[in-house]
Amino acid sequence: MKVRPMKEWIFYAFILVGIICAILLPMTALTYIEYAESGYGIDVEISEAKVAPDNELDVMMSISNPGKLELEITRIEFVFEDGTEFKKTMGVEIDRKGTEEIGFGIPMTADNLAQTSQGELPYSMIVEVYIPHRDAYSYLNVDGTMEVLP
Amino acid sequence: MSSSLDRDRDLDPQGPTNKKLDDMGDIWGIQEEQIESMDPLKFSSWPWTILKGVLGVIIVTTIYLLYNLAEIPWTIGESFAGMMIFAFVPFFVSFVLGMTFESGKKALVFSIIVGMASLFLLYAILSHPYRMNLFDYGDGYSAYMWWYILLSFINMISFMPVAAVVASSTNVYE
Repeated sequence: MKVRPMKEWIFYAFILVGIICAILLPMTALTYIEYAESGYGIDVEISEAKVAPDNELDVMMSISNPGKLELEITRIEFVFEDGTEFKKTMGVEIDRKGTEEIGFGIPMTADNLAQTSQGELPYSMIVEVYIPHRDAYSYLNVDGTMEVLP
Repeated sequence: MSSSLDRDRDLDPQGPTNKKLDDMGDIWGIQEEQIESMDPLKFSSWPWTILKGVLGVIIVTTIYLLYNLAEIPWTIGESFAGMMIFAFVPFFVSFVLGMTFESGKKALVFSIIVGMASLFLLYAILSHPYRMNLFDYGDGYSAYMWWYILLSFINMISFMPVAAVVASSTNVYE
């Protein structure tokens, strides 16, 4: 095999890979910083919210992990519009590229119950994520409205 | 005619030596011509060298980041193909950097400078959330971060200088 054409090809491949990496590097670095800032990229979705007979709101959440790093959900906090707070500590592990379903009941005040009768409940939620491979905690803030089934 | 010329040269005590020297000069001329016509060496002017250095830092840092950061969806860590990329891409990057020079020493120094620059860039990116207090970290945090940097350093110091010296040697002998 001739060495010179091989060297030329390696050189052109270097330029090509360099251009690709010039796009990938800022993307990766920004994603890393954004993930560290807000819950390591977890995607939290309230799949179902229903008022139980004992005036509790039964919430089912699905949390998915986009990366190949194992994560642990250690705490979920809800703050509702009337100022009531709900905290739940847990230890739910989410596998690499996995999705976990979490269900729990939130005790409701009269104000909140009145609001749920309209079928929607605005909330603000903080999810605490522990990253065992970094020994770090990250927090995800979500403001949204959940649809409540009667 | 030719026989008389041969005889003349044979009679001349310096003759055969001169002929050998002429051949050697021809070979050396071809060699130099080849080196001048060699495409990678065309790109060894200083603006090209700086561009190669910058691209080298970008590629090597990206590979180290992608290998170490498992949370990124397009990570190359935790897979065999990713391990191969982690091992060989810095080698080939350094190979291209080494093709810039005819002197092995210069290639060695240049590749180590590029390697160290990418490690510093890696450190700056990895420690950004820690320096900006973007999250709460425990005692083990910095140990994990230093492990990532140590892993990258071992990769850099074992592959990059070797490739640079090998590549610079190909500019002289083919």
